[in-house]
Amino acid sequence: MIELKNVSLVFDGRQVLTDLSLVLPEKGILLITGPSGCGKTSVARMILGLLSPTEGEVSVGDLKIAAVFQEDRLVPTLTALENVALVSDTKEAEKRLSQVGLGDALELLPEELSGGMKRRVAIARALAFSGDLLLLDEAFTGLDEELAEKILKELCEEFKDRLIIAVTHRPELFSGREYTEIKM
Amino acid sequence: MKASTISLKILKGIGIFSFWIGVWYLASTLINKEIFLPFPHTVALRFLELSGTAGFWTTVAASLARILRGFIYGVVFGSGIALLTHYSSLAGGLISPFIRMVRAVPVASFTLLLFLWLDNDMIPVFIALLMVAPIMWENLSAGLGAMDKGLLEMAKVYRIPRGKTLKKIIFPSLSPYFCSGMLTGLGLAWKSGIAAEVISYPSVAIGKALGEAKTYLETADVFVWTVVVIALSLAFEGLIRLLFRKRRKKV
Repeated sequence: MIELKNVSLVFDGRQVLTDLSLVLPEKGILLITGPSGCGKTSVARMILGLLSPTEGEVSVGDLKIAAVFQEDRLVPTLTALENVALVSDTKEAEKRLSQVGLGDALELLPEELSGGMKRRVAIARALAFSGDLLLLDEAFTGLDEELAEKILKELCEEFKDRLIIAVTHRPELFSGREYTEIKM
Repeated sequence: MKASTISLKILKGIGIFSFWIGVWYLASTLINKEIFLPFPHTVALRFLELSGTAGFWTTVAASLARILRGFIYGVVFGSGIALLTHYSSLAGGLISPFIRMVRAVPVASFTLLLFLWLDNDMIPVFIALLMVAPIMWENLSAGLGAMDKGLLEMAKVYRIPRGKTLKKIIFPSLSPYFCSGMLTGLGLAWKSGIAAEVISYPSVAIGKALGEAKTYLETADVFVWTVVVIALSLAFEGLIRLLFRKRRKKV
């Protein structure tokens, strides 16, 4: 179970979070929404263990988290397939890339992919990693509505018994689905 | 690369080479005193003469071993220091000014100082090290500074093993900086190493041969040894480029 206890965060001399306490559900969809700069991404980074709170405690246990970051974070010297295979075996990587519609782009380098294709490689990587939960930080930026909906459907299907945390300023993407929303 | 492109490149190379040989001939003809500027054919003949002796190859091997040793020590030492100063601000504060100072000290000053501390054979090795290490430090520090932190975070989140992170993410990202440092360092190692040999006079060395040729006004020999140093430096530069190109393809 993921829990944030009385978390405060000062970042670059600015108070980003004050005394935030949260207990995250074990499955389902959890949306973290709010205006830019309200600390959504900081919460995500704390859950991922990339940022420590100034005060309070974040406990994640030994959960394996698959993440799609705001940026694609693809290794420029590796092909799409090799990028995904960093977190899984090649067969699984190939399967996941086909799942996001990149079955023909396995051998392309990130510089040869469009912005939307890079996003999809990052999503395929998250799918290939058998995580206990999925964290999406503005994961659908750069994807058109139709494609975002298609990929989201597959992600929801894949993680139906696990937790999906989505940090987003486009909560409408999740309309028609059951979710819990935390407005920051 | 297409065969026609390669042929064109070779032809261009021959053209440039011929042009400069022509300039050299013209200058030698104008000066017309081989003691100041020998003709290219005089140098070529002298090269053939010298390269037919065992002493020539022993001299080349001795200098090659010395300079390569200094170069390798410099690469290892400079890289180690770069890692240290990147990850420890205390080490960075202490070591960085020292390395900048080392970079500014003339080869002659170091060589003369080292006379007091080291065996003559070791002076060129140490001089090459001192010239290469700061270059490697500077290049690798720039590479470490420019490394994409986002990729390292991704590796941490996805629990990519450390060895795989090093091989697939860190090394390829540092490789251009490492290659550039090695290429610059290699040129400097040859220049400074031979200069140190001229001053320190090790038992067998190209620098010693150069010094003797100067003393006896054997200008053609000075040219031969200089051409040998240039050829060796270019050969190793080509080898480094080839190694890094192959590595890039492998990754």
